[in-house]
Amino acid sequence: MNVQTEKILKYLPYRLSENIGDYLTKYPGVSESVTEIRLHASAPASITVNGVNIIDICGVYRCTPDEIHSTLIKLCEDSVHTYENTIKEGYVTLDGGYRIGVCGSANTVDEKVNGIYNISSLSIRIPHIVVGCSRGLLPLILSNGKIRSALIYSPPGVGKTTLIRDLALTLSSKKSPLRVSVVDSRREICIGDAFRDCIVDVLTSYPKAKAIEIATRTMSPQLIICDEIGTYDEAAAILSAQSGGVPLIATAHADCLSALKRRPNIGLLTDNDVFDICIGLRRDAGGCGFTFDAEELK
Amino acid sequence: MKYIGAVMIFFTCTLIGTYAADRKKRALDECRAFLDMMIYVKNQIGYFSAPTKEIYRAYENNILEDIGFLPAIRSCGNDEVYIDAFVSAFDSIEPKLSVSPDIKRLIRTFGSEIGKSMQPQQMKTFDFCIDNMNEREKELKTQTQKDVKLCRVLGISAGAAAVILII
Repeated sequence: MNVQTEKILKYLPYRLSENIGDYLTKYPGVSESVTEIRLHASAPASITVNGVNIIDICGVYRCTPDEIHSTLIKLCEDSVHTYENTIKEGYVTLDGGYRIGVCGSANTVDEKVNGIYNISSLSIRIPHIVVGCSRGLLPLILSNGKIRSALIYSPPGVGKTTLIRDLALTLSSKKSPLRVSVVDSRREICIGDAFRDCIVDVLTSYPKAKAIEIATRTMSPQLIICDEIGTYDEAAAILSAQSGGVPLIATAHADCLSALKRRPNIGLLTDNDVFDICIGLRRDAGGCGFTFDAEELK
Repeated sequence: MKYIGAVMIFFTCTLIGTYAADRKKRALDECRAFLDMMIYVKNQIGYFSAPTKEIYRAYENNILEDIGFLPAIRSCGNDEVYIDAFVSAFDSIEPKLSVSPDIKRLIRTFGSEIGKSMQPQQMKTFDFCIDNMNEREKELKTQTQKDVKLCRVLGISAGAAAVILII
């Protein structure tokens, strides 16, 4: 069984964990392709394999609200308060790059989420290191030996993070490695020991805008990699960093280029020629590799 | 021979009195030690949102160390799935504790809330438990002072009475 998947099973309700274990033993090839495990209060749990959601995991298992809560406590290592700020943002990131989406009922004060109660769903995203998956991307972002700024887009769950993780690994660890600054706000990109042979500066848990500013100002990077941009602050910081001439590879959620450009803050960046190229990301038919839809912006 | 026996009986009674007094004092010491830890945990969570594992690893207290609570709680850090360290460590040493069942219940309530919810909810439970523990500690302190005196006086008096009877 895949080590990353096996590790997370220990935290799940016992019977669900057993069901998933049995399922992965029954279909041995599937284990490497499990991207998500989703728990719902009083509704069926599911696993996502190559984008397909499976409910019948050696039987249908419905978690009780208590099981959901105790799973979150286990995942937070008995320290829910430590993750309070990110839980309010809807997620928890654990060592090893696991991201757990958390939703329930929000307690709001002045439009700000003050707390979450009655947690009803957990979406556990299992990180994958797919060595070489960015090979097809390199010819698109390299031009005359220089790296061009690129915006990679796709709907959630296609593999943007996996792709830029491999890109950061590839560019910062080959024979003539580049100084890469990775803005890893959610601790998802630089996981485990994968980056120990790389010259990567990792800015973890900073607000993205601040991280981009710091990386540009203090780390003299040759490339900045940033996952999931979208807010106005991030767009403003990127604009400012771009005037410093540092190429940027960023990702954003969108299912097509027009939808991407319609997002106001992304539109601000594309209108200001921050990116040389926009690259749409799709899974191959078999679900094992990526297909890139590139569109030159300049 | 009679005098030696009388002296021995006197010392034995005095020692029994002192031992009983120490046991009373031990309950107060344990109560204070847990109260200190509860305040420490509350501050670490309230001000720093520190992970519980780190809180327990950094905390030092001779009494809790001697009764095996801190070693037990730290050993939970090696568990595959880390949960309920405080309560399981507390349960493992509970029979050895000298504090009253009432105080034990407060400590357990406090422990079972650590890390289980967001900070404001935890703080409410912590404040409730700490306030109650403070009251218990004050009561226990007054009671212990009386009991210690009583135990010592009884020990010495019993010893003296026995000596007089023998002589």
